[in-house]
Amino acid sequence: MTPVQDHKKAAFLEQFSKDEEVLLASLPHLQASVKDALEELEIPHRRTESWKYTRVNKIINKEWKTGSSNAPSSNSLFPNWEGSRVVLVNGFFREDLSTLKPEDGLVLTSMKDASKQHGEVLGQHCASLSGQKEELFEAHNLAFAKDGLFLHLNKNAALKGSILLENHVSGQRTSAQNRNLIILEQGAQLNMIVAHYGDQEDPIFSNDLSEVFVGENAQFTCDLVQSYQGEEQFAINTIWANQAKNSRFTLSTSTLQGNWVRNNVNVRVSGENCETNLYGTYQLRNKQHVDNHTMIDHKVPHCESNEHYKGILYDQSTGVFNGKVFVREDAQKTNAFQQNGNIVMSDNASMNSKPELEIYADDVKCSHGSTTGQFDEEAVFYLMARGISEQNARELLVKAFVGEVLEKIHHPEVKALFGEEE
Amino acid sequence: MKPLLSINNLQAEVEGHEILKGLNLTINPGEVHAIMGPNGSGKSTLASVLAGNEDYDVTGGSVDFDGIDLLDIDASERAKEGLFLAFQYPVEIPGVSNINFLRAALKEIHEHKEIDPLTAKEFLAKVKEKSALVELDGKLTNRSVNEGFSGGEKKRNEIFQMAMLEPKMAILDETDSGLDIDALRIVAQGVNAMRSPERSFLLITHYQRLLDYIVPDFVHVLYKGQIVKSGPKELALELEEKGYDWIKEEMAL
Repeated sequence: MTPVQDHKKAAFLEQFSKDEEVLLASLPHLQASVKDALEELEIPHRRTESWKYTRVNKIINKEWKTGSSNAPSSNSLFPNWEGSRVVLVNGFFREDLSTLKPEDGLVLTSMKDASKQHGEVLGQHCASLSGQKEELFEAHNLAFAKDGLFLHLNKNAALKGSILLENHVSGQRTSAQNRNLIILEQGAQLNMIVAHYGDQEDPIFSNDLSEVFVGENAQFTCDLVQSYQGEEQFAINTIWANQAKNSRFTLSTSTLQGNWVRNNVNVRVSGENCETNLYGTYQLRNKQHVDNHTMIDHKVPHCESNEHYKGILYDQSTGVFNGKVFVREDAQKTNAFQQNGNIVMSDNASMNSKPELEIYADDVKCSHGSTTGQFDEEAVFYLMARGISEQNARELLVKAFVGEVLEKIHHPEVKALFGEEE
Repeated sequence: MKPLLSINNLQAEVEGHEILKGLNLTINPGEVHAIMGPNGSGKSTLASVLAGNEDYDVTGGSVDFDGIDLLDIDASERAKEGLFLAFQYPVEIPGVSNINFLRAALKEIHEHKEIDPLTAKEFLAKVKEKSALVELDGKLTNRSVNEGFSGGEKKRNEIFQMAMLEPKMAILDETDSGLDIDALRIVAQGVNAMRSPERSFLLITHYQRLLDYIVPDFVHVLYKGQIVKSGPKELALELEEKGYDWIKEEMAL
């Protein structure tokens, strides 16, 4: 690292270290390694492979202050939600804004509380999946996160409804770094909607990390929705999941708005006969930039993964898709399917798509594909020739293109955000 | 009688190549016209230009369609005014169902004509009736537009759409190409069922065979971007027998 970069990193981290009461204080076994990581890890730059197309200078070079838990939370995309609603404001669990419906076998509380009341479970799981030793922003999250959602589902617990988790970040130059821990014991089932809002027009930096443990025969389904409305809003969203045998993990990520969004989804498939589904969709306008990095690690035999990301890029927007699939030597009979499709609508928009398959087993079925193209003008003409106006024809075709992914979204409330009829 | 379509000295080019070089044609309501001609004579260009494909540049002339300056409005407005093109190569549109797309088209056409939209029940009854006309399987009507359809199914789907939209004038661009006799018979049956004193057809074809099934009132020969010969239906037989060289020779004289 050059002295300049060293200095920049120190100045960036300095802003956070003044904070008290970080979760790490109750995790002594991690403290030394986090300290080392923050010292050693570089700021990602152009030659850092996993950050090649996403610049972080604008985050590093700006001033940030820790947001207040009392900041206002703006409108919800789900005002009529009747189930349990968990609200985090600037990374802090807000019990007063949350509506929690007690259910059998469910422990739902703040990470802050969990570090006192469920210290042992938290200590065992927290940061056991995540990559704080390799990624600066993951180390940053672990070092400075103060709160988040702690959710533990007991054996065979199945909730009556889905849980909505809403994350609001607001306030001038606010940074939020929360850390969520979700644990599904054997046979448990959880459906969630996770929404992220960059409230108002404030410049914000959100570095959010969730670890999800999907136990044996458990099922986790989550629809993630991102709506960062402001121009100077930077969001890193990281999910780490581990699957025990016979489990299912399904995640959809819909980026509705976001000027600078980096999504990291990492799934370790550790047990046999698992199913892993990752879906994603983005429709980018103006100078928006969205980077989806995914990793699925097949370690054992007889598992299946499906990955499908589709996006449309207008104006001067830029997109990145990087999908890594490992099929380890022991992971025979793996079925891994990956597809990324993009339509670039303007000469000034661009897409960087990189599927990466590393296969070390010899009896597997794996496929990947990436297509990036322009709008099918012949199809537009065909629809127009039947009496459909040009604008409606284009809308119909856009819907049809991303429709394949939209139909995989679990919750009708999320589908409705795309104007899909239920 | 007031003509339904009058094309006057139409000139058009694509990528700088002049294809139509002053084409004249008048079609009255209820008439069926066939345009034949050798490859490259401009047959499909004529169909595309009339339907409003913007890949072609109109460089001169005028087209009047039922009192409207056709060249002044876009493809969608032309369709709303009652012009229909059955494509030579129907486009596959994954993710858009045949039914939803026709529902959307009919909705816009009805809005344009300021008539009440069809109820869901009326629409489905119409789908059932019109798909039977061209023996199109009910499953196909629900699938994505033309996706995975055989060549014959695509052409029958074009005629099905025509029957659903009930245009004033239909242009069939080489609808017969690549069809076996059975499919050709079904397509022709669909077209003939739609013939009426108000509705006109322009059949663009390379082969006389189609005209055994859809008997035209007039046959025109298009050659080098102009109509060089017109006659009754017997002209098609003469062309079939003698080929186009005969026309070319006659032109040279």
